Amino acid sequence: MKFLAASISNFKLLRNVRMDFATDGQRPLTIVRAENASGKTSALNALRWGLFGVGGLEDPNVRLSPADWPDGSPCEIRVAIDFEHTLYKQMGGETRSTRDRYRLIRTTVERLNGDKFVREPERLSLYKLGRKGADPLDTPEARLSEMLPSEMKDIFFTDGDKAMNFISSELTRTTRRDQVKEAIKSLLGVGLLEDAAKHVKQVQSKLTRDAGSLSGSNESKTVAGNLEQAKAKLQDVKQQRSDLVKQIDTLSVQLDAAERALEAALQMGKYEELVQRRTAAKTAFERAEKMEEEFKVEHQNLLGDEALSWTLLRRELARGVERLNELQLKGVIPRAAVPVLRDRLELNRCICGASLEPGTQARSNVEALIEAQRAVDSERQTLTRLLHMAQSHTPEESDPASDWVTRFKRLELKRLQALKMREAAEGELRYCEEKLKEIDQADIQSKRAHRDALRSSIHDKEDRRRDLEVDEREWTAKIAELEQRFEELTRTDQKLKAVRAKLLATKDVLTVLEASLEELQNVYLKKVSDRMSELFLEMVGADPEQGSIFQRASISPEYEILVHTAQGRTLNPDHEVNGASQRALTFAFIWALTEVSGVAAPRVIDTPLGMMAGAVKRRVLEIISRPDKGAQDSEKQVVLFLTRSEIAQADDILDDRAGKVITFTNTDHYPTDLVNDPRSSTPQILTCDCTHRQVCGICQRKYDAEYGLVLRGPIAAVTSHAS
Amino acid sequence: MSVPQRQLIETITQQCERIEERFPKYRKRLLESIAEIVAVERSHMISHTNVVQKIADQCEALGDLLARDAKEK
Repeated sequence: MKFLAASISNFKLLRNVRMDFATDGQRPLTIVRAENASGKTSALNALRWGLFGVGGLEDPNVRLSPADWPDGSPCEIRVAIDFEHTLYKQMGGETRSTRDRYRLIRTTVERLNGDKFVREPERLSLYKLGRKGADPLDTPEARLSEMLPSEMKDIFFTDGDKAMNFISSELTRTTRRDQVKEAIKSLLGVGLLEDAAKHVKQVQSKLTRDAGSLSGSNESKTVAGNLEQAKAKLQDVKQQRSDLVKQIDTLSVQLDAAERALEAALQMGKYEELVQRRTAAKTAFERAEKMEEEFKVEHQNLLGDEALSWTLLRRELARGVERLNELQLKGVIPRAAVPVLRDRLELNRCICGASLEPGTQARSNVEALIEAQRAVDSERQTLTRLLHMAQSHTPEESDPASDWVTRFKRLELKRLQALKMREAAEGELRYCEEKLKEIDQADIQSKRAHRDALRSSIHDKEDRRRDLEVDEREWTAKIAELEQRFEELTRTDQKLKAVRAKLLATKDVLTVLEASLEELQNVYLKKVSDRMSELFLEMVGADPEQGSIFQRASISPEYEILVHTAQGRTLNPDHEVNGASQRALTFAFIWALTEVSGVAAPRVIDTPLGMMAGAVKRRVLEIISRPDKGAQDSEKQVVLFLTRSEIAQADDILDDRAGKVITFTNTDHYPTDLVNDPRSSTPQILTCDCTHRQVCGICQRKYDAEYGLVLRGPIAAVTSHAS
Repeated sequence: MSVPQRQLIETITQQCERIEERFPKYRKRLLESIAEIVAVERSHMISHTNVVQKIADQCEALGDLLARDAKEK
């Protein structure tokens, strides 16, 4: 299928729009240049609706008519598409093709009533265009479906932003995998095979029931009944397990979010770390306080120490002792020490060893000496006592280490250190307490509780899933047993011979359908995966042989899109791949699907180059617009809806590859963005023939100078009427 | 004919070859029945039909052939 032209009436703001499409295989691009809210998505949806009806829309319940259409007044919505289609037929061992032109016209009428609307059933007409005019064709839906199956609508008509859903972490893993699986199935049309298998199973069940009721044997009837029940039960268990897997996936996404939220709340004040720091600061503070107290006591003791007196009075005391010694030398102070003499008398022995026993002369001499001492005046006694004290108590010159001053200085240093430690600990304690106050404890507890609840729920569901897996195995084994038993019972029952044959034939049909389904999915999964990898690496400019990080991309047997590094690691595209590469990856996937499908149909993409810039954007555009090799009259056709910023820095590629360019302008953008008043009484999309390098009186915008666009003439060719 | 359609036919044909040849040309009849079933499903996609009955007819017809062959033996 190749589009030739489309005309759209009253589809949203596309009140009266005509589009011509590029048909030259060497310049296969049709560019619809339109800024945001200028009809790009509406045009994409209009084409989808034209081809597939409401089933082609994402939401069949959305209003199609312009928003300002008056209530109660019928609004006819019309999309007409002229296209070519090539039909291939096998004739006499040869493949022959015929190409014909067609026009489809899909219409409906809506009546609005405030926010509500009523839509009449759609009408579809299909005409074959020939020299003699337009021949209406019967069964237009069936014919269209043959040309472009509806299962392929999402592959060939793509919203660039929504395509990101194939890898988006906002969706559950199951949903992403299902989307990829559905996309691959749709290009194969295997939905048809799945339906066929499902219907054959229904036939099988009916035949089993028939066998049961025809059989003369009660046991056959019972086994047939049990077999049906077992199959129903198995189906139920499979459905429950499938539902549980989806629930677990959903909860896992929620758990991820809950864990991130909790982490963020904890990180806000690094709660756990602050608590530890506060405890350490408190301990340090108490220790420093205790040390300070000890040093204070030591200080007090030091001030009361006798050594302080000696330190302060040493010089004066030394002069005093010297004077006493002089007095002793002069004989002013008695040499003999009375207490010493008395001690000797008590001991009855002199220091020299002489006996001082009573009655001895020596004793008499000592007693006479003591008597003589008594006669000395009190001052001399005092001096004598002082002399004795000085001789016995005067400390030696102390060593510097134990000198009081040294000790004092050392203590002072320690006190200062303890003070600083206390102050530092106090500061740390205050900081931690302030920070901890900022943290909303209640919020953390609530988030923690939520996370724990999710974990618990997932755990319970995982347990249940495992139970269901066991049930599934048991029911499968039970069914096998019952089938075998049924087979044995019916084999000998002649009345059931015919039914048995039908059951066998049905079983063969089912085996072929199911095996075909599996093989097709595997074969095509690999084809799409391989082609996606080639395209992706080319788009991001990665060359594995040159040591680039990206080695390849793939779709796993579980239908997950993955990226692999040179080190053998697997990257999650949503978290571990940059934005431009993510876009390129989803693009590569969709492009691979369209190529592998082999279906010749226009590839229509809305905003394909968003989030891409520079080299990646250029490579993607170059790849998707590359003409088919060697084909001058190729089927390839690509329609891109692009904004000015997407086109910027890729103009040269469009110069070369764009066969048609059309610009959409929303009249409502005056005066905010449009330079000229479009003079339209109703908001609508106007078109003009400006190329990607031009602007005109209709489409000129205030910031066009940024893009180096050239104004073409004061009066531009207008292909849509402003009413 | 698109690649998937060709691939579909090829794959179904290959899978039929793996089924036991229960009587001469059984595989060929099996393939024809399945082709009819696929056609019935296609029609059903466009306009609803009693698809299960039509598929049942195909399976039963094949089964009748099988039963007749067994009787003849």
